Amino acid sequence: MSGSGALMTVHVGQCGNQLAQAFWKSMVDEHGINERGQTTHEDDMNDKKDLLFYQADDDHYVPRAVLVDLEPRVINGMMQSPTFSNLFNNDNIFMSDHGGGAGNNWASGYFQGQEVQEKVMDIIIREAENTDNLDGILFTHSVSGGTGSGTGSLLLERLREAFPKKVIQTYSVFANSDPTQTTDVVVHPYNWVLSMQRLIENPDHVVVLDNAALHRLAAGKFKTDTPTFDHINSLVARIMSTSTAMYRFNSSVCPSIRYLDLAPFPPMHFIQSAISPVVDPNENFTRKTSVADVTRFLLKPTSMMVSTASRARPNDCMLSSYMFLQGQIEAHTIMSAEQNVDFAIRRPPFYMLKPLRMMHAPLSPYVKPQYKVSGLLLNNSTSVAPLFESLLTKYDKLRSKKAFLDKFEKIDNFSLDMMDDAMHIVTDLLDEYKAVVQKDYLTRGL
Amino acid sequence: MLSSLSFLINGEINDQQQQQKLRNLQCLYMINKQKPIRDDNGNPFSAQDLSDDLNQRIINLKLDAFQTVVTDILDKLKFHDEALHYFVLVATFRLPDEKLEKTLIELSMQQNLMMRIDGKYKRRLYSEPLEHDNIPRLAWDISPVLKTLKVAEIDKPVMPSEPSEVKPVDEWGLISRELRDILCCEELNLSAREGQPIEFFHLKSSIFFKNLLDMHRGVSSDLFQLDGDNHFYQAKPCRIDEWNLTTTRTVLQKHLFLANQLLEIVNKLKHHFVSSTTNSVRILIQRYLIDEQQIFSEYIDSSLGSSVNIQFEHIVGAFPSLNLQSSDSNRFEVLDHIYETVSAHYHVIREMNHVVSRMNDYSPILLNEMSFIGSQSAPQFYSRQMWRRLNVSLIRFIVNKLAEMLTTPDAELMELLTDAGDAKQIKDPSIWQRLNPLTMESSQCIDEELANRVADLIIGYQFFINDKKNKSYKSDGSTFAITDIQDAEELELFAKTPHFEKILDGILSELDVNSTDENLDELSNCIYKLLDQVPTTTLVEKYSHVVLDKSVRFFEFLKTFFTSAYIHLKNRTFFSQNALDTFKCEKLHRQGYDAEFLKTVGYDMKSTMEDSFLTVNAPEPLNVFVSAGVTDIYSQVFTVLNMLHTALDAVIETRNSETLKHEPRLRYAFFHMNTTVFAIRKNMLTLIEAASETLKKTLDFNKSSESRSSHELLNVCYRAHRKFIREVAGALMLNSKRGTTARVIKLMVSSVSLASKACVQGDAVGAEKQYQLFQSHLLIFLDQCRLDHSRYPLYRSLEIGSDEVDGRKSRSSSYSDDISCRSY
Repeated sequence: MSGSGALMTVHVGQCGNQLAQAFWKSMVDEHGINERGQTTHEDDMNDKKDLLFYQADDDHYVPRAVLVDLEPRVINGMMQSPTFSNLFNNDNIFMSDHGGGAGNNWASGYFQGQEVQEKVMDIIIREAENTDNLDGILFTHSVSGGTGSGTGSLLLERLREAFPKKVIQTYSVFANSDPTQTTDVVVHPYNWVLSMQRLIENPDHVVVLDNAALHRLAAGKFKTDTPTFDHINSLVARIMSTSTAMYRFNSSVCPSIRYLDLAPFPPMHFIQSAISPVVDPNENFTRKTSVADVTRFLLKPTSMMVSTASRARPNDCMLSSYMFLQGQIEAHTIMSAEQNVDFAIRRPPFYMLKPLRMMHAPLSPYVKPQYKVSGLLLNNSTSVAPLFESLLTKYDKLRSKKAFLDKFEKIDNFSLDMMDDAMHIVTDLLDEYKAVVQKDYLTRGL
Repeated sequence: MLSSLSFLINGEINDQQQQQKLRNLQCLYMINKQKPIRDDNGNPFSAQDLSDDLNQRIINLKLDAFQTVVTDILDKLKFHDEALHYFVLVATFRLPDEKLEKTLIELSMQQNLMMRIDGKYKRRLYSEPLEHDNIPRLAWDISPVLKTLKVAEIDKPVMPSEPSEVKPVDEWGLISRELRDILCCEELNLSAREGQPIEFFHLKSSIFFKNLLDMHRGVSSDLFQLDGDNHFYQAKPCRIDEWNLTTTRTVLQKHLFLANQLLEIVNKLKHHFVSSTTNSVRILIQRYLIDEQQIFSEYIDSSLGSSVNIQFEHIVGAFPSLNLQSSDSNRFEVLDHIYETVSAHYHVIREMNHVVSRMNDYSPILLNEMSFIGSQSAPQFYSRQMWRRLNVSLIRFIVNKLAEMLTTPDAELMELLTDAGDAKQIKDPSIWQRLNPLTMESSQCIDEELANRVADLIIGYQFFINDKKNKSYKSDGSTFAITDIQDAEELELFAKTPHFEKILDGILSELDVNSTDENLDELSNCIYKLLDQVPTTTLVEKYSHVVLDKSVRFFEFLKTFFTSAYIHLKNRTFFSQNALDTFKCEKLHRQGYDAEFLKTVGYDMKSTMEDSFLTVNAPEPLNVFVSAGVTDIYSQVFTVLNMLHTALDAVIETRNSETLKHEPRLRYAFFHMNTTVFAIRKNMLTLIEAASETLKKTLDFNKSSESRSSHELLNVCYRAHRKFIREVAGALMLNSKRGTTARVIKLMVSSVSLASKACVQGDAVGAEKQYQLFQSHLLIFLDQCRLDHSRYPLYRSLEIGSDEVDGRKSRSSSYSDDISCRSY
C-alpha cells in the first residue's frame, strides 16, 4: 500500500446532508474550486484536490460524495442553491422514491435502508472503483433521528462488509443531551442505543459531535441565544476540515487517514473534539492567538465538545489524541509546546508512551484564515464515557417505562431484542472505559 | 710581390718609389688581415659576397658591357693569388661609384679591352688584359682608396728620422730631448718590451665610441674583435685622442668585461628562445627582449648621431643623451655613463635570462609584480625604464587576456588562472569556484579580493556559456533587457568590434611607458575599469539571478522529494533503477514534484551503502549544492524515513487481525510500536521542517533590506543550504560519532515488521517476542539520543517505564534524573 489515497464522503439523513453542505462549501473554498467545479487559482503543489474530488471528462472537479436521504427536502434544497447545483454528481445522490423519510425512527430508517441498500451500495462501490486508491470513508449522520441513525447504521454495516480494510470515520451528531435543553426527538435514546451498537462494531473512529455542546459553543461565540444549524454546522465543518487537512494538503507527517491511530483499544474509538479559537466567520477576529494559548485551551477538559465535559472524572485518561495546529507556526514552537504539555496529560497507568501527538497541519493556500494560530484536538479519552452513561440513563428511563416502543415494534423485522442487545454492547463499552484506567487492564483475564 | 702589386695597380713596371710600393704592400696586408669589409655584425664579407656586390654595382652603373672585362680580371687574380683577389675586391668596394665608372671606361679602352661602336661599348674580341707574372693589370684604378694610412689629425706629422741622426746627449751632457722623447714614448717602450714592432690604433673619440658601443651591442670592429670562444678582445693597443695606451687600456678593461658578460647572456638568452610556442607569456617576454635589444641598439645609434629608421623613437627620444658628440663632455664621464647604461641593460637581461630559462615558474602576475618592483627600485635609470616597459607590456597583456577571457568562450584560462585542485584550497571560495576551483594569483599590484573577483567572474561567465549551450533555460525579454547584450554570441561578436577595441585602448592609453611615477595600483585600476565596462559583469549577474531562482526551487524540490517521495512507493522494500524510473514517470510528477528536477534523481547501482543508494545528478551549476556528501545525507533521509514509514504500514496491516482481538497486551504493543515510530518520524520531519523554515527565511531575499548582487546571494544560498544539510543530518542524528542511527532504526523497523507479520499470521508469541526485541532496540536508540543533548528532549517521552502511579510523567520524575546520570 502506498501513500496518500483518496477519501469518499457518505452523508446520510437530514443532519448528515446539512453537514455535507457546510463541509463541501468549506472544501471548495479551501481547494480553490468554484460552483461549477472549475479551479479558481493556479494549482499549488501541495493542494491534493484528488483526495476528495475527482475530475470529470471535461476536467471540472466533482466531489467524491454520496448523498443519501429518505426524504428529498434537504438534498433538494441543497441542489437548488447556486453553490451546489452544478457541483455534485447527480448520480451520487440517492433519495427514496416514496420520499417520506424515517420519522425519527431508527427501525424505520434501518429497514427502509435494507430495501434501498443495494442501490446505495452500488453508488458507493462505483465511486470506490473509480478511485485509484481509496483509503477511507468519511460518514456524516446523526444518531438521534431516523434516517441518519437507522439507515446510517445499516450503511455502516454494509460499508464495513464491502470495505473491510478501509478506514471508516464517522462524524456522528448526538442529540442535545443537555438536561436543561429539550429536543424534538423524544425517542432519541432508543435511536442512539441502536446506532451505538453499529458505531461500536463498524467504524474505526467515531467523532462524537454533541449537539448540546455545539449549541452552547455557538451561542457563546456567535453572540446569539438561538444559534442556527448554519452556525453549528460551520463548527462541524471546521472540525472535519481541520481533521482532514493533513491529507488534503500533502503533509508528510500524516499523509493519509490510515496513519491516524486514534483507537488503540477498539471499541473505545469514540473521539471527542475541541477547536480553538471559535469565531464567527462573519466577524473580524481581533484577538491574538499563539500556540501556547491554543494548546492550553484545547487541553482543558471543559473544551471538549461534549455536554458532559464538565463531568470529567479524576481518573479519566487520554488513550490517544492528535492535536492539529494550523497557521503561522514555526516548527520549533510546536516541539517545545509538545515537551511542555507532556507532563499535564493523564494516561492509563500501563502506558509507556505519550498518547498526544501534536503536529502542524497545513492550511489551504487559497484561503486566508482569520487567525494566526488555530487548532483542533481529536481526543480519544475515557472522559467521553459520562456522555454515554447519561444517554444510557435516559434510555433506561424510557425503556423501563416501555415508552414509545410501539413505534419501533410496528416496523417489520424489528424486535426489542435488538435494543437490548445494543444496550448490552453499550454497557460493555462503558465497562471497557472503566477497565482501561486500571493498571491490570492488559493482563486481566489471564 | 712588390712589383706584381705595383703592376696590378699602376700598370707599367716603373721605378715607383720604394715607399709607395711598401705602402701598397702594407695596404694589401692590412686589408686581408685586419681591415676587411665587415657587415653590420662585424663579420668580414667573403670574396664571393664582394664579387656579387661588384657585379651588382656594374649593373646598377649600366656598365654591363664591361662585366666580362671585370670578371676575367678577377677570375685570373683569384686563380693566381687569393690575397690579391680579396685586396682588389675590398679596394674596389671602397672605391666611389663615379671613380669606378670613370676609370673602368678609361682604362678598359686604354688597354684595348673594349671598343666603342655607334655609341655603345663592346668587348674587343680576343682581347686579354695585360699580365705580368700571371698577374693581370686592373682595368680600373683603385689607387685613390689606398691613400688612407693617415693617422689622427691631431698628431703632428712626424717625418721619419734616421736612427743615426738621434743625438743621445745634448751640449749640457744631459739626455737629449730627442732621446728623452724616444725613451718616454709608450709605444716604443711597448715595442721594446715585446721585442718586436707594434701596431696600435690612434682613434678619434667619435670612432672610438662607435667601436665601443658596437662592441656592447655585440658587433665586432677593427678595435674589438671576437676570438674563437666568441669573446671580445682588444685587437691592438689603442690611443684615443690625447689618451695614451695605458689610459685607454685601463678604461677599456671593465668595458670589455661587461661587453663579454652581456654577449654571453644574450647568447644564453637566444639559446632559450623558442620559435613556436602556445605560451603567450613566453612570446611576450621574447618579444620584449627582442624589442629591448632593438631599443638598446637604437639608443646607441641615436647617441652616435644616426637617426635613420628609429623604430622606438618615442622611447629612445626620452633617454638622456650620452653626449658622445659634444666637445665639452668629459670622456671619462661619458665612458662611465656608457658603462652604467650598459651595465643596467645587462642586469635586466640577466634577470630575464633566469626568467626565460624557468619560464613555467613565472606567471604574468608574478612577472608584473617583479617588473613593478624593478621599475621602482632598480638603481639605474635605464634599468628602471626597462622594468617599466616590461611592466606596461604585462599590464597590457593581462588586461587584454582578461578581456578575452571575459568575452570569448574558448579563451585559454590557464594563462592567468591556476587550478587550485580543490575548492577547499581556496579561502572563502565563491559558488563558481566551488564548481571550478580556479584562482587568480594576487600580488602587490593586485590584491586578493580583486583577484578573486576576477577569477570568479571568469568562471561564472564560463558557466553562463555552458548553460546557454545546453539550452537548459531560455532567456527571454523578461530575463535580460532587450537593449543589453543578450547572450554569449552577441558578447563574443561585440568583443570583435572596434568599439570594444576602443574600450580597451581607452583603459590602456593611460599607461605611459616613460613614466617614472610610482603607481602600485596601475594594474588594479585597469582591471577595475575593464570590469566596469565589459558587459560580462552584467550578464553574469543576470545569469546568477536566474541560477538563484532555480536554486531556491531546487532546494524546495530536494527537501520535498527526499522527505516525502517514499510515501508514494508501491514496494518499499525493493528498490532498483527500473523501479525508480517507473515510480518517477507514473507517480511523482502527478504528485506535484518539479518535473525538471525529478529527472536529476537517480539510483546508484554501485552503492554499497544500504542506506544511501539515491543520487542527485543536477546539471551545472546546481550540482555545486549536491556534493557526494550532501547527496548521501539526502539519500539517508529518504531511507530512514522510508523505513519508519514502512514500519507504520506494517502496523496498519495488523489492525483487523484476529490475533489482536483477544490479546490486549499485543494491541498495546502495536500501539506502542506505532506511536514510537510515528513520534520518531514526526520529530525528524519536524526538525527538518524547522531547518527548512530557517533556510527559506534566509533565502527570502525580497524581504532583505540589504542590497546585494545575485552573485553574492548565491554564496549566501550555498552556505544556507550547507547549514540546512547539517541540521538535517542532525535531525536524523547521522553524525558518525553518535553511532549508526540508521542501523538502529532499521533494527527497530525490522522488529515492527516481523511482529506485524507474526500477528497477521496468528502467531501471538512470535509477535510478543518481536515486541521485546523492539523495546531493546528502542533502548539502544534512546541511548544514542542521549548523546545529542539538544535533541534528546524530543525523545525523552519515548523512554520506557514510568514511576508514577497515575501514569503521569512529572518534571521531578526520577526518569529525568536517571537520564542525566546516564548521559555522562
